[in-house]
Amino acid sequence: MFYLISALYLGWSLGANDAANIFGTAVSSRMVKFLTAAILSSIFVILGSILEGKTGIETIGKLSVMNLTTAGISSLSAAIAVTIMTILKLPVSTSQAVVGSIIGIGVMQKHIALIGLYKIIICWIGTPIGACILSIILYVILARVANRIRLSWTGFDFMMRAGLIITGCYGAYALGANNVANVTAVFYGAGFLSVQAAALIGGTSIALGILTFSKGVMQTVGKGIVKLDAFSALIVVFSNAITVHTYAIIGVPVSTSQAVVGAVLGIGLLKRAEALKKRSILGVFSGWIATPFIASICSILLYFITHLKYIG
Amino acid sequence: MRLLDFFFRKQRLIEKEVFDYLQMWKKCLEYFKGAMEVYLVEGIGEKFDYYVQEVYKMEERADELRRKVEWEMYSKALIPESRGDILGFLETMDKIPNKAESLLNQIKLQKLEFPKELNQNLERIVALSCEAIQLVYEAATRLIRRNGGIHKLADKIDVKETECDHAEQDTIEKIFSMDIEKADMILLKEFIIELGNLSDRAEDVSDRLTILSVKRRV
Repeated sequence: MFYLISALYLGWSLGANDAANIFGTAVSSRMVKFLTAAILSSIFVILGSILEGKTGIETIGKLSVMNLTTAGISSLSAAIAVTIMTILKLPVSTSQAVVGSIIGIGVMQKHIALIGLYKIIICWIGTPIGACILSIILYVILARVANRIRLSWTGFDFMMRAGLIITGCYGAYALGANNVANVTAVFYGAGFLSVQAAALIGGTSIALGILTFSKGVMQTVGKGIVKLDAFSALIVVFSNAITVHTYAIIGVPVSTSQAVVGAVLGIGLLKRAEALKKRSILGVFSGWIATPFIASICSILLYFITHLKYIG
Repeated sequence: MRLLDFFFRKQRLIEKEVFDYLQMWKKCLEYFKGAMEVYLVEGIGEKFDYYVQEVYKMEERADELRRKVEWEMYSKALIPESRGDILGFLETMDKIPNKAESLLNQIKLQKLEFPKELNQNLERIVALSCEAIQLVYEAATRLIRRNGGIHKLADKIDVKETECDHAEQDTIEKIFSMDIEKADMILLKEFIIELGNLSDRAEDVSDRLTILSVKRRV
C-alpha cells in the first residue's frame, strides 16, 4: 500500500491539472458551475478508466520489467519530476514523466521494450500535430453546419454551452481512458494490481484531484483558452477529446495539454491569427525532452540509492 | 423537446425579454411619430401632451426591460462574448428613444412654433427618420433571430440618413431665408439639427448591428 501513495499523488495532481484542459473554458467564463464540471468530469474520468483504460495500462505496464519496488520508484520519480516542474512553473506532462521514469528504471535494469518506446514517442509527436489537423478539419465542417442552422442568438449560445458540456464529458472520458495508465500501470506491470483494480484506483485518484484541487487551475488555464471565441474553444475541447481518445484506443498515454496546444495552433493557422504564445509551443518541446529527462534522472538516482549495499 | 426547453429556459427568457424591449422601443417611436404629426397639424395641445406622456411611459418601460435583461444576462445563461455584445446592442438601441424624448421636451419646454411654410420640410425629415428607425427595428429583430440580411437593411438605412441630411440642409437654408427674428431662426435651426440627429443615431445603430451580425458568424 505504501508504494501506491506516490501513484495516488500522481493521479491526484493529474486530475488537478488536466481537468482544466477540458472544462477550463466553460468554468472560467461562468458558463458552467465548477461543482457541475467537477462532478461530471470525475464520473466520466472513472468511466473512461474502467471501460477503456486497459490498453494503455498494458502498454506502460510492459515497457520494462517491474517489481513492487521498481514500480514504487517509478511512480515516486514521476511524482517528483511533476512537482519540480510545477514549482519551476514549467509546462508539465504526467505521461512523459511516467515514461521517463520507467526508462530510467529500464536503463538501470538494462531492459527496455524498445518497440513500445518507439510507439510512445511517435504518439507524443503525433498528439499536437494530430490535434492541430483535427481542429482545422472540425472547424471547417462544423462552422458550415453552425452557419446553416437557423438558430436565434440565445439558441446559438445554448448550443455552444451544451456543446462545451458534452465535449467536456467526452474529454473527461478520454482523459480517464488515456491517462489512467500513468497512475497505476507500473503496479499492474509489477503484478501488484489487476488491470481492473489499476483502472479503478487510478481513475478514482484522478477524480479526487479534479474534485479537490482543479478549481484554481481551471480559472487560470481556462482564461488562456477563452481568449478564443466560444465556437473555437468548443472545437479545441472536441479536438483534444478525439485525439486523446484515439491514443487511448491505441494504448499510449499522451499529454492533454499538448493536444490543446496543437488544437489552438490549428485554429490560429486557419484564422491566420496568432492564437498561441511562443511559450506554449516551447512548452511542447520541453514536455518531450525536459520532463522525461528529469524523471529518468530521478528514477536512476532512486534506483541507485535503493540498491546500495554495505560491503564490510 | 420539453427536456430541451427545460435546459433552454434561461436563454428563452432572455430572448423573450429582448423582444419585449424591442416592442416597447418600437411603440415609443410610434408615439413619437404620432406626437410630431399632431404637432405639425394642431401644434402644442392636449393631444400632443397625450402622445408625449406615452413616449415617456414607453421609454421608461423600455429602460426597465433593458436593465432586467442586463441583470439576467449575467446569471450564467449566455456565453461571455454574447453578454458584452447584447449589452452594447441594448445601449446603442436605447439612444434613439432617448433622443426622441429629448426632441419632444424641446418642443414642449421651449414652446417651439414652426412657420406653416416649414411644415412640409419637417414632415419629410420626420418621415425619413421614422423610416430609418423602422428599418433599424427590422435589422435588430433579424440580428436576434440570426436571420441575416442585415447588410441590405444597413444600406437602406444609409440611404435614408443621406436623404434626411439633405432635407435638413434644405430646411435650414429655408429658415434663414425667412422673414423672422434671428433668435427664432437659431432656435428652429437647433431643433432641425437635433431632429436630423435621429437618423444619424439610426445609422450608428445600424453600423453596430452590422458588426454584431458579422461577429455572430463562425
